[in-house]
Amino acid sequence: MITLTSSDGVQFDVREAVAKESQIIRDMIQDDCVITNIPLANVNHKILSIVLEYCQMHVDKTEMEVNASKHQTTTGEGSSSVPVALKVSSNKNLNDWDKEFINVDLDTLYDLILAANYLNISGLLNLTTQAAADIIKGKTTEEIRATFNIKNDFTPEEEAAIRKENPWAFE
Amino acid sequence: MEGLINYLPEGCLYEVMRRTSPDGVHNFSLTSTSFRSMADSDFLWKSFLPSDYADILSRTVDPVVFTSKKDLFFQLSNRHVLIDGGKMSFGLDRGNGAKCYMLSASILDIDFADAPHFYWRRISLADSSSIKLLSDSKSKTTKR
Repeated sequence: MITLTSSDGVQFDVREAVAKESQIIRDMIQDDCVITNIPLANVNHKILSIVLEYCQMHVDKTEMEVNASKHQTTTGEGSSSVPVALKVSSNKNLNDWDKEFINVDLDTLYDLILAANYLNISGLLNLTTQAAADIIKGKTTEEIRATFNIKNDFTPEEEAAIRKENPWAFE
Repeated sequence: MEGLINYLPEGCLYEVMRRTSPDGVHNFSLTSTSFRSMADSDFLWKSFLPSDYADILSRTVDPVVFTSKKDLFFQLSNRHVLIDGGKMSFGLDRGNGAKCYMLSASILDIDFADAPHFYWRRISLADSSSIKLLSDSKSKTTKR
């Protein structure tokens, strides 16, 4: 077990495999194999608990797959077709779970992007940045400003010039 | 309150941007001055260009002159360029950057093309260049 301490001092005891979903923690453990307590200065307990939920789920799913395929090999039942089918259905479930998991408000999404970036959890960074990208897709400039609360700091002259400029000429 | 998106590190914003779409990035670039400079970067627009774009540009009939990767993307998504001696044209889908080719009917391998009097006849169209859309040329040149 490894203890992760959030920036606001809350401790989380997690299995090493779960903590190692984070590349930065994986590197720390590799460098110092007796490390048991890791303080995370940039992640508060609210966000850390969400991040760990993600890591836990992904580790559990991977382990389930490995066990299932081992069981299949030792019992000798069937050939490779069953584990493949199992893997596919398990991936599908995990994708559904991810989709549900990332259905959060914008502030939480930002914090998750920052945490995934800081802890270097590639799967979570993909998931969170894709979720933010999906919010942008199909929106006009005004809608993007409103959604993300972006202040328009162009001067009226610049704004007018921008409006005239349309790189897709044959709209 | 200013949007929290302003506080995301640039690396994270790039990750978000490149997962949107070319027109998504373009719309985003017009939201504010700081996002504009970031969303216009060659680094970002290169991710919307096909990995073999340099090879394709080396095959164009007329050289394609561009000032930035974004400019290049816009040019190729606005109109096709002739490649391979004019037998094909190439362009990009503005929505997702997908490669689009149009083939000249003259390079298609068509059954009984050598027996024109029986099945096929090549006709000239007033609005035609040497290039026609694959489905387009088929419907216009097929005569039974």
